[in-house]
Amino acid sequence: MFLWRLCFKTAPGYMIYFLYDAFRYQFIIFLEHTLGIQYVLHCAEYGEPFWKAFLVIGVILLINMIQIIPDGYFIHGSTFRVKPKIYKALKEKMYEKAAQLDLSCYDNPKYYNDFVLAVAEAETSIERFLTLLNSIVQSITIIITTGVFFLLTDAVGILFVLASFVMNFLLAKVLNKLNYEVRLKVNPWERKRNYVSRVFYLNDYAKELRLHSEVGDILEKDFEEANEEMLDIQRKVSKKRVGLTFAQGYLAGDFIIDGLYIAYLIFQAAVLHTIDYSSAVVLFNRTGSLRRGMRGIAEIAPKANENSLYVDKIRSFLEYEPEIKHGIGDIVPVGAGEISLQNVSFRYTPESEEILHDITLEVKAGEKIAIVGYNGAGKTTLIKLLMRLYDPSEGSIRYHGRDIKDYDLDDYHKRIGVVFQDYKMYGASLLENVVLDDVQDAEEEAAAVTVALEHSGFGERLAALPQGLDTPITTEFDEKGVNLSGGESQKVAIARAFYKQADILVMDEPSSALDPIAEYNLNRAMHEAAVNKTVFYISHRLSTTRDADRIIMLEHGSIIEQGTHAQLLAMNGQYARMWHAQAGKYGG
Amino acid sequence: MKKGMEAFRNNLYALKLLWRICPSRVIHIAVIRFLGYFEWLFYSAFFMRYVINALETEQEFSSIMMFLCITVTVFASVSLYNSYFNGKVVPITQIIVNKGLNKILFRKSRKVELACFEDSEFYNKYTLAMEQADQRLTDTVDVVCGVFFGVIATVVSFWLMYDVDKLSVLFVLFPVIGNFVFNSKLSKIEFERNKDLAPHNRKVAYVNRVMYLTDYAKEVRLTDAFALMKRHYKDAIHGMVEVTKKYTPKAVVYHWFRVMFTFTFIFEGLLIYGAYRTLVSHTMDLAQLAVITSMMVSSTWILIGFTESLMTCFKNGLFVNNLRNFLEYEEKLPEDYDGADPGDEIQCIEFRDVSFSYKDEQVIHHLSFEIRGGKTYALVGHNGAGKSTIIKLLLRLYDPTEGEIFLNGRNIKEYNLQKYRQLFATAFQDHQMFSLSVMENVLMRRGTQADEEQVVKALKLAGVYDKVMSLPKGLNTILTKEFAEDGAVLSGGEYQKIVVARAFVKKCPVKIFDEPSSALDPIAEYKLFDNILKSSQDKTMLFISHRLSSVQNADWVLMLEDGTVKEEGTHQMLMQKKGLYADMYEKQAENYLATSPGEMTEGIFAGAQSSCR
Repeated sequence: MFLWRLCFKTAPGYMIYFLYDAFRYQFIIFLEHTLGIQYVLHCAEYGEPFWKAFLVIGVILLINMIQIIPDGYFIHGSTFRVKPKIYKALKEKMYEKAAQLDLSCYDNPKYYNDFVLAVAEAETSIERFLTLLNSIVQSITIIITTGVFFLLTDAVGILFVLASFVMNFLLAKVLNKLNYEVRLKVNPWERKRNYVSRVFYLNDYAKELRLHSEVGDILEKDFEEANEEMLDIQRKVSKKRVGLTFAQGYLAGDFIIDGLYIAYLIFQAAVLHTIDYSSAVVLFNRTGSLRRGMRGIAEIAPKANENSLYVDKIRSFLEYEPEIKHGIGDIVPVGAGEISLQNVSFRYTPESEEILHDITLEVKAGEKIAIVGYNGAGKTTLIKLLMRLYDPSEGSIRYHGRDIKDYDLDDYHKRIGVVFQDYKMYGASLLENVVLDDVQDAEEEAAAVTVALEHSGFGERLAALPQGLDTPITTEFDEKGVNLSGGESQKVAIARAFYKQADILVMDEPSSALDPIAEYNLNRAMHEAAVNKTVFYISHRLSTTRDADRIIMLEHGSIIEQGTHAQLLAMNGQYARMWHAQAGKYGG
Repeated sequence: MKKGMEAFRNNLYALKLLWRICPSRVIHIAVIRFLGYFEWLFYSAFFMRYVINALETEQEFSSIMMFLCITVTVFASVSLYNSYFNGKVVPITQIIVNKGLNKILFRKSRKVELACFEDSEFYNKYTLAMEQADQRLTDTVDVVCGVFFGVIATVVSFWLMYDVDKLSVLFVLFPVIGNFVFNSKLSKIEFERNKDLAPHNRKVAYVNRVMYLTDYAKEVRLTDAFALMKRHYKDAIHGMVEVTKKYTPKAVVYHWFRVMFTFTFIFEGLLIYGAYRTLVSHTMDLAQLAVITSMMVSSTWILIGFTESLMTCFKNGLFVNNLRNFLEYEEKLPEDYDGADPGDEIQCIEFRDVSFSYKDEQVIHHLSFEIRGGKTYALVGHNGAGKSTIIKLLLRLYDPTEGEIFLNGRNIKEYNLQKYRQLFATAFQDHQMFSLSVMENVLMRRGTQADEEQVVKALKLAGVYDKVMSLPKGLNTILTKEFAEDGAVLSGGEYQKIVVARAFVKKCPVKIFDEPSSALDPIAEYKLFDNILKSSQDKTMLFISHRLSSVQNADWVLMLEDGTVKEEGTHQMLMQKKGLYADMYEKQAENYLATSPGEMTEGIFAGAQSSCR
């Protein structure tokens, strides 16, 4: 119903034709195969004049010729145009939601799986819904047209079809249950099997497999074992399944129709003479389609159930209310302001371990803060709270004197420039990659973008690009696209921060993957970006952070030391130990 | 025509392949297909004709019943066989086919050289071939049998119609025209349209990916990249509509002709013709008319089924072609390469004027250097200077495009590849974990009780032992949640340490570490290098590191730039030389050595204090 409303709202004309089309298809078949043939045979049997048969068939031919004209347009024209639009209507809603979803949803594997499934299944579930709708209308048409025909010619025939249908339906239920049980048993083994295939064919593992051939042998053995188990499961049920399939396919189907019903028809025609031959022939021919119609109806329920499973996922996704809300709250004051964290604690889920404990921190406008610490000390989490990708479990964060929850989220994000270690390049133009927004007027932005790129050290490369700012980035869509090297794309990522003219700059280990020279150059570029901004810089390399206004040393989610480099060294605590471990070697 | 031959040969190949893996499946498929067509023809032609004839000639009711009983019994057994096929043969042989085919594929994918995986064209075709290969192989053979018996059935049904009435066969020409002429025109349009739609579809798929991948989630929230993606999506949809518009009018016309010729003309035409013959010229009786009408329906469908099978045959040909190309691919560097036994001692490894091109781009240029047994070597240089490529060349994951590599005075190509690789233990930067126990992930083979001590030692050296022991099943914990519910997921740094433990545990003369510390914090890094150096005393060792402080202790440093050795010597020698290495070292060390902030040139905060205090 949800999908029906969606489809109908997006393309009402298409949907009406869609319903008509399903009806039309079966109706024409009925016209040709039942009425047409019957009439001709009837004429033959009773020696009616030829012109009568000719007239009837001629009319059918004419109807046929006309009705097929819009059909071609429907199949080859509107379907291709309208379907993407329907998909778009649903997907845009989903994307909108995805962009607002709390980041914590991505961390929850169960939720994330459902989410990916919902996105992946969006198109197919519409597709499935349309197919289902089509088959419902078709089945109903068959049952009405052919059913009426049967009732008028020989009502008893319906009983045969009905008997076959009921038996079939019941047996199918038993068979489905059996298949479902097998599916459940086979599933874990199949997953194992798929895993092994993946290891063998993914590029990622190719190197290891070549260097450690024994692992390949282990995996091959696992694979074989999984197959043996599956064979075992299948062998055990095969007898029962063969029996059931036979009962369903033959006893409930062919035997009743091809055997009993025909015997009945022949009996009627030959002995009782209550039916004429032409009707007998047509009746027999039509039993098949009536059965198909009934089966179609019988299959609607399970298919609809299956589809509604996916639709439910999509709906619950769309109805999910993010905890961190968009579009409400006040505008954030422009210019660097004071940031203060008060007794901030954080855990990802109520059950999980606490990552940050009771952190209190005052940061003056324009202060340069370095955050250092061991792996897993909570550095990145702290930054994520600051950017309001998560809300703290306890305590509050204030900016310009107000709780950041009071600000409009999107506006708050606009005030923050970020350089991550794992920045992404998008399949769009260079200009768009810097602006990261739908650029309405490229000319207008060009100057600002060029300046940003020059500041980040991309200027020379830009000058060498023949298409300049319009150069497509990545070869995803454009063969003439440019794949930037690691260092180059990093510069583009920094240019984003420049362009944004944010008041807070956050850098999360932007240089850990770089060689010393590249790191050196990067840091120089960052230096320029940092003027007049409040800066948070996370790094393992203490050399890059030693001159911060304040260094904050985190351990196990708490601030254990803070101060300038000199103060911390004088303290001779954890920071000093870490410093000496790194610097000591250079001393030699 | 040439394409037809190619498709034919490919389908034949699929038939042969399946025959090799599971001959019984092939036979069953053929029988099922045969019986399917047989039943169809029997009922539409023979059965109906007999019954109506019998009725018209007023035969005994019992004799008709007799005939009916016989057919019912015959088809009961056919149906029983059908059930046997679907209920038992298919599920069981499908697994056998999966097993057999994948075994062949696995063997092959283990054998082809690494470069194949990195060649995107090869790799794409290869993944296409692997995808549900078993299902598609049996489908292909099924279609082949369908085509074979479809031809026979078509001929028989025509012949039967001809038998009843010679002229009626002419009506079959309509669907033939409809199917072959107009349908192929339509397919051509469809093909062109799909080609034009492809870039738009790709764009849609890309947007989709960006929207749900975790990698992008952070940025999508912090920037307006979403608006950008939305616009691209809209453009793509608009593009699709434009493409469709271009092809619609033509398609509508062909569609009309196709339906008219394939269905309408033959149906209505034959009916009128039949009516004429029976009513006007009285040359046909009722039984014949009934048979003709039901025959025309079934011949048309047999014909349509046959052409569809033929089309699928062409499509499958493409899949088989990928599969075949992969299986028949001649490895340039087969993994089971045989040769001399390299022994287990290293005196000297030498690169002599080695060049290597990767995708037509030379990454290593005329590289020469020497590694002596028992010494420690450090490879340093910029990102992209070719360090990792050198390791891959050394391990013979690639062969040099030019030049040679010698081990103990013999070209490494002369050695048995597996034995040669056994000389090295390598810890790569990109850590891949297998869904096996920790112990197996370290040993990279099945472990025994006797190995445990070694594994524990290696894990301790790598600095991850405590973490492993904190896992519920210790060494026997399965890594990754791939299919163990209680599997452990470790952090990137911890995985890296396990990779390093792999290198520690392996008993072999040469150890190689490729940036083993990139994901570690300074203290862990410091300890790790200490352990690496200690454990490899008297062993030949080669390591890559960006942290030049750890490089000082190497016996020999090789400074690479642009794929060739620019400087080499001990740390002291290179420092004195005041070249590239010294420059790099100083840039890194500067801040650690500077005594007051004023001297700093590195770091984002250098000289920035005054402006903000």
